[in-house]
Amino acid sequence: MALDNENKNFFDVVGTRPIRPDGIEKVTGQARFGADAYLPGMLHGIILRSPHAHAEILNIDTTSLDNDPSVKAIVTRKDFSPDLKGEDWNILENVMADQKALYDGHAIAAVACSSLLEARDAVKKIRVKYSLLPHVTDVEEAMKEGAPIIREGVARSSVPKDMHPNIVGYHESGHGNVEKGFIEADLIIEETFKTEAAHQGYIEPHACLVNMMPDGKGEVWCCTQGHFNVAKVCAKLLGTDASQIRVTASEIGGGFGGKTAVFIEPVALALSKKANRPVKMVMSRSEVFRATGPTSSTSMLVKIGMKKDGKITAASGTFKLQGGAFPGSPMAESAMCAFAPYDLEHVKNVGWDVMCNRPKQAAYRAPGSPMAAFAVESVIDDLCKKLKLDPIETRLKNAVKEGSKASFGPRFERIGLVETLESAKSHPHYLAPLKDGYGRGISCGFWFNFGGETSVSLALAEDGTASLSVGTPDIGGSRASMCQIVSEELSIPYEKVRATIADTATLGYNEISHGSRVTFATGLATIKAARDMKRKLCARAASNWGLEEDAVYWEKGYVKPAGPNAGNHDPLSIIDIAKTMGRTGGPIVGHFEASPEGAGVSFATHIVDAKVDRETGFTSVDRYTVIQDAGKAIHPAYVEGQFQGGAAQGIGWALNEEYIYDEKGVLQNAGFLDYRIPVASDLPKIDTVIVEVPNPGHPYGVRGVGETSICPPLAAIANAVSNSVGIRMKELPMSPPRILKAIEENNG
Amino acid sequence: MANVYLWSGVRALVAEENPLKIDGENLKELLDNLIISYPNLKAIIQEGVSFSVDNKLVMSSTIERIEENSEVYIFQKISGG
Repeated sequence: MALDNENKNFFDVVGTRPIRPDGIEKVTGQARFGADAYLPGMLHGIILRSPHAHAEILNIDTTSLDNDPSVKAIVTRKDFSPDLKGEDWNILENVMADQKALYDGHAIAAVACSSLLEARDAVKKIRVKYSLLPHVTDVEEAMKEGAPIIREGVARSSVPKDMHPNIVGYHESGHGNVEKGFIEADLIIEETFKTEAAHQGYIEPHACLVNMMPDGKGEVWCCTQGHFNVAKVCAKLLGTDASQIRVTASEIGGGFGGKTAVFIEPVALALSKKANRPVKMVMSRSEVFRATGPTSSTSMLVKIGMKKDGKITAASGTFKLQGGAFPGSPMAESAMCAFAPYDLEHVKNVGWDVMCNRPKQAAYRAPGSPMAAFAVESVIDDLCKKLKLDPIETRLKNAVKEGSKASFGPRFERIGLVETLESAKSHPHYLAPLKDGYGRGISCGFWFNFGGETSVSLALAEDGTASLSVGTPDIGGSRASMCQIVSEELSIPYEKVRATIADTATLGYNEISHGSRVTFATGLATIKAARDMKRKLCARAASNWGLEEDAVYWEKGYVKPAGPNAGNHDPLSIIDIAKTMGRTGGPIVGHFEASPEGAGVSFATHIVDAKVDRETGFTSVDRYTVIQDAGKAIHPAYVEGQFQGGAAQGIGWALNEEYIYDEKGVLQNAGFLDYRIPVASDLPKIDTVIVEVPNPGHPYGVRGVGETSICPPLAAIANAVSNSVGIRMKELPMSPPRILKAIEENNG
Repeated sequence: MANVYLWSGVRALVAEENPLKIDGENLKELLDNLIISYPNLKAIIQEGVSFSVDNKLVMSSTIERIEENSEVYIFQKISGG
């Protein structure tokens, strides 16, 4: 039986919209999030954070807490492993500062007390002596001669020599000869763009409960996108074995990339180790803003040449991203995604990774791609306007398709950009007349999608139901999708499958839930585990009948004899086999452990209608449509939710969200009152169209969907604003003050 | 031998040869042989890379099989959110 590599094109359960398995718990308040964990005798941990953007730490004086009976433990950097290098050192340095505070909010020390109030009081009594250093928070300023140096000797080997020490990464890719291509153009537009850092804005703050026992075994319950990574990082930072730290992922109240990083869990474990008591830590919203990663802010230069008929002759872009006080901004991703939707003979992508006195940037949905799309798609829109070209026809004229050479190198396999553009062209939204004063914006976007280490286990119960254990936290409805896949493969009802996020002691290593990888990789793993189980069910039935394994076959939930020579046996159902499995060979469990690749890239096209109030500068978004290639939508309602979520976050990023630092480098808007994410009244109904061009690298054709939807919105809204108010906005967010200023400058 | 394409930012380290002709039955062997031929690429590869093998994106797994005349692109490591 070729159960392993069978590709499915017709489905019974996949593609339907069953009730989500976590729905009841969440709507009744019974779901347990990070802050919902309790243990008898637990302490509360609080972190002391730097009030300075850049300062040498001369002394940390905790003597005032020496005789305080409420204080059960104090930790500073010396309580963590001293032997780390590279990115492990960077993570530790971000978790707890060593010799310098590198940004406003950087952790300096932590205390654990019996109550939260006592901990809050105690941490204020720690005296830290700082020597202030000059700081820099702007990406362009950080590259200038004389800019304060964040840290010497960090630059990657790809950085050209003699660059400013704050430049720590360099990327260059492309093909052809852009100078030759620009000569062939009828019109060239070159513009600079800037975007501010935007936070992922998850509602649930980082939270954990840990217990480090005297024998060195640690337990962690936390909200995270990757609990296996939490175990690995905590073990390294504390100098212990990863297998001794068992991590259980709680329900998660949003992550969007921001919970791929580790912040408080190692601190809580260090406190617990010292106090010999469980320790709970929950970040305040202010801490979340000041000390967990927003995405990078950027400065970008984009140049595109176009013929009168809309054919792009050449394109180049330079993308400078600051990643906070550490290397690792997604500048290579910006550069590689920027022109990915277009089939270009001449293209050049350049990226710079720059350090500033800001928190370490963390991934945020398709890291680097939305900002690059903002710059590129804005220039394409201006070219279309000046050459009087239709924006969709022009994008179709240049769109990549199967076999096109990508701007980052290889040729594309089967992809669906053209299908999204064709769908947009015929969509009622695009065909509808514009309301008075509104502008319509179009943009495309691209993201890679990921595979990565994946391990699942599918156990059969004696009543023929199935229990699936996966190691990827459910950040977008994956438990429902996985149950559908098991149901599809085994032909048992969806309700008879339960999916659980297993702890780190239960399964092999699982890569973080990131890169839109879960439905692709865990889905593929679940298909393979179910097919492994089917093989074992067939073997068990054959054994029961006294046949060779190849004398039976699987059909719709039954094992049947392969033909007349196999004898006259009644088909055996899963229930028949399950109820006797204990005495016919033992438990039946399907497994998959591997690192699937071939995730399949995806593209989206967005349409938006927006209107600028010329008196207030306020932009209202009236209508929004997301069209995206999902490969195959397992649970279409969840896919639509991902599309809508990306658009909603993009609207916030485009119009209001930004990190505002004062002249001392201190964050001024570390709360949702001043950092304005969109609320329901800011958002229109967001329509969705799921395009399904199957990914050849997945048995069902699945592509990741979680990230691509945030790539086009910044540009789509900027293009709508430009068409409404007649001014090209080159800096995000397009907040009312910034738009008013642009209108005033345009008038005068 | 596979045709190996590096991102243009590091081509100066291999005297602008593009593509490089490198042996290897899988990505690990190919990377090992690449470093033997061009030791100055070792640090860059160790800092993290992703791949495309005959147009299939491969983010990290080095067991991917390489055929005679395969086209292998090596990128700086790509991360997701």
